Amino acid sequence: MHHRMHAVTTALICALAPGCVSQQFTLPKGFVRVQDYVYEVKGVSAKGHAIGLRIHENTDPPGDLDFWTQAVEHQKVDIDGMKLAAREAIRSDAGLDGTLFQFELGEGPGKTGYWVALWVSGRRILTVEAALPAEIAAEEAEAIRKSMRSVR
Amino acid sequence: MKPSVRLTALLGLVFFCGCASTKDYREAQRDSSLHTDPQGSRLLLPRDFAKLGVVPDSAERIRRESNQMVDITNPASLASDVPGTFAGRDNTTDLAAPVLSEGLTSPVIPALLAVSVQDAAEAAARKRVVVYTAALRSVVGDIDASMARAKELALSCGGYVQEIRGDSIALRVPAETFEPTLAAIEALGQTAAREIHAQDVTEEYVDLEARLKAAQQMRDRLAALLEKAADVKAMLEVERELGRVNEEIEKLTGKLNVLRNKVAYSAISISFVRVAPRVSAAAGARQLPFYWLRQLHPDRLWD
Repeated sequence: MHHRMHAVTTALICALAPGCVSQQFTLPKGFVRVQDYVYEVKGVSAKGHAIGLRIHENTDPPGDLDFWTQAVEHQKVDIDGMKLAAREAIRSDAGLDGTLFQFELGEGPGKTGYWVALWVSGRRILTVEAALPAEIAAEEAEAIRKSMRSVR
Repeated sequence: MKPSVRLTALLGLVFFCGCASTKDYREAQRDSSLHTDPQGSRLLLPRDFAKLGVVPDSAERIRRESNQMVDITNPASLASDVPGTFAGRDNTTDLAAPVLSEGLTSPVIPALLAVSVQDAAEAAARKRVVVYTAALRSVVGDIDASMARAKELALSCGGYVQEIRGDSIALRVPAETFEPTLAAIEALGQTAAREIHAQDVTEEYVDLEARLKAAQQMRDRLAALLEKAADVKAMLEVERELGRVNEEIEKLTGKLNVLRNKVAYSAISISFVRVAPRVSAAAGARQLPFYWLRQLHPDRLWD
């Protein structure tokens, strides 16, 4: 009886705490899931592309999508010096509005693309990050977008 | 007098003139900024005459007069425009007269010495021979792409890549495309430093041309003497001198070709520098108190 009570309590606490909410998204085709203590879900491709989902706790009262969109851009561009190649509105398959950033790092053939999809859902902030070459085929780019939109 | 004896005497005089002129030549070099050849020469040159006061200093004349530029890419125009083609002059100052006053009748030396510096100076004064060089330091976002574009620009105008070293590239472009190509290269990024030099090589060019012409004339005369040589000894002496003159011609031709190339193709060297990261550009930007924002980085994904 005690064990059962403990399990129920734990489940309730986890349900209320943002970090314990189970979030998933579908990895792009060609990616395999790998364990990582930082990311809820993380996958890598045979080419070394990587994609991962993280959940962050929102402020209280919570900042909205506009606030976090500006905050991410400020941090990555003004502070970290990344080049913002593109920023666009994105909607998840579940109907959640978000922002997709496409940053670039480095120069020349080794230039890296770093995509960040940002969603805000109440007390939770979801980010799906992808690290890949700056120049990729359109099909690959679409597969990444599709994977990002699948967050739930 | 036997032909062989006359030939030997003539050759001796040629050597004597060469040695005597070398001294005057070097004195002239010490006193004049016009003459820059550090090695001296055994040939009597027009500038030697100028030093001796027979004709006005050609450098002064060049400085006083025009500022046009020779189209050195066109050898035909050079033959007519640039001194060194000493044909058809009527104001020749012949310094050979005092040197050859004692009973010499060979046409070789008078012909060799009958070179008009005045004509040379006047022709040079009409047009200038200029070597253009530019050195840029360009700040760009993408060094590889900028270097590739600079290379394309050079090739598209008929130029070529002389050297690539690290983030620097040295180009040679046709002189007539120097300015537009330079402007196009500057547009690749932000120019942090720029140096453009226009080196006037008219004097050097005129000097080389004159020396080459004189050497060629001497070769022709020696070849004619060789045909007339009556004995083996005289023949050997003429051939030895002919060899020396041919060697001199080759050296001068080489120098002249190098100079022509320098004039025909302007040098543009660019040192590319990567643009500073925005972190320094956005000085005053403040970190937000959200640690996870700082953790957003591809390196964490690849860990």
